[in-house]
Amino acid sequence: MSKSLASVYEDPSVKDFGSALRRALRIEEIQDYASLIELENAETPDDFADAIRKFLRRFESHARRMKLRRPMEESLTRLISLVDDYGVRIVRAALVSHALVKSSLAEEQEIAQVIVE
Amino acid sequence: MQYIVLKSGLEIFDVARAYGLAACLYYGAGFRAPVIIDAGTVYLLEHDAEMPKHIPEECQAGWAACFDHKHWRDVLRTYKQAQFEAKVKKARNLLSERFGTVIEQFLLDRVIANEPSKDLENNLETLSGALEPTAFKGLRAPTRGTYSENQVKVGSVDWALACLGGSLVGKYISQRTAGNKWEYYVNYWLPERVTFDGVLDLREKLRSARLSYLGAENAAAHQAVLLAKAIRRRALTELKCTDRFSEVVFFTLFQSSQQIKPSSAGHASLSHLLKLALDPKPEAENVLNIWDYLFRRGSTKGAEGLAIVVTEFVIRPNLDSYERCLKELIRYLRKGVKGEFQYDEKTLKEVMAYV
Repeated sequence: MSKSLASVYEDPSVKDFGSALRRALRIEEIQDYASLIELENAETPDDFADAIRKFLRRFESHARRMKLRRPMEESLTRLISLVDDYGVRIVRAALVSHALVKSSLAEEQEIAQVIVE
Repeated sequence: MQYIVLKSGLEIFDVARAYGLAACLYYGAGFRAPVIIDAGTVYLLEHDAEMPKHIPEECQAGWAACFDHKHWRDVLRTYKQAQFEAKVKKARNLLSERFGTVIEQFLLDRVIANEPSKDLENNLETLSGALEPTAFKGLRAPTRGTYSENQVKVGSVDWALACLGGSLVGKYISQRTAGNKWEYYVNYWLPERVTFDGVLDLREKLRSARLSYLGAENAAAHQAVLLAKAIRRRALTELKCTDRFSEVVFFTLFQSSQQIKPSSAGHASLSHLLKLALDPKPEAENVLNIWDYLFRRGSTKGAEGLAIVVTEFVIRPNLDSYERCLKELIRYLRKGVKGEFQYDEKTLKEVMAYV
């Protein structure tokens, strides 16, 4: 269990989406807790894909306005394939874990920049 | 010399007897500590000294301090003051006056040959409910009626050793609860392989460490984290640290009317936690510090949810408890958490290894 959770957590696509989710929660103007709750409630791969789609839609509007870095397209494809391989719960836990961790220096600067503007 | 304590099935009684016998050997051999090993159906005590026959002069003060009423009050909590004092005196007299005979009957050869000492009167004593919750039956305070329950009676030597071990090693955390009543959250660490002086040292380090707890499980989980931190500190500063505990056993005593009764109990494995504690990576230290912080934060009013999820995760680390912990932590980030108590990527990976 721990091995698969740790390996999913290390996956670049999960890191990419996790970073976007973290910024969506930390930047005061966004504070996208709705996406977090939808992700937490996703039980099936369809629910999970739906939650990701909604998150991206919400994030896109803010990212365009605030010039934020968006998750890459390959990451989305990879994330969905991870769900097929490991199941929703492990991918969900790994993704939400990234939302919890301290922001990196580059991210802190990005968030600070948004606050200044 | 090797000594064994046969397990009876009463977990706390058994481990308290092992600690009690270890205390006798420790003080009897001039502070040379025995090693306590859980060997399945018995606790094996290995002692690098001749069998002591009495307490030497230089250890008399330490031995006398073992019978301090302050510590014995906890293991004999269910007795009224007069009875309590009589019980302490009885145990002290038995262990001090028949010291050599008491120890002799736990010698490995003696137990294997099944030769109980003829010099020792092994009268029956009622096991205190505060020492072993499964022995809790009915009234303990004096009443007009005469009650005697043979099923909770044990030999007086075993009883005295268990009380001694319990008073030295058992952790009893008292807390005032609703209705101005007291609750006691009790923790015993079960040894896998420990040196007795190591146990005393750890116990002393954690003697005053406590918070306002939600229950016995919460108290046990926090104390387990503190134990892991103390073992890690010791492992980092000493050349050799071989003390290993297998489990923590916990239960609650609560005040009901004039009596003390037991309630929720359980046990949790310490192997994962101690493995984490002895991991040389600095992230392991961060994990323990963050958990300690979460327990402290969870002990404040309005943050009980945090204490519940962290307790559950430390006691039962699995994907369910991990996810519940994540949910609660993310909500707490909004309320502000100091940077030093936030997970970074590497630290969180260590936590995942614990799942």
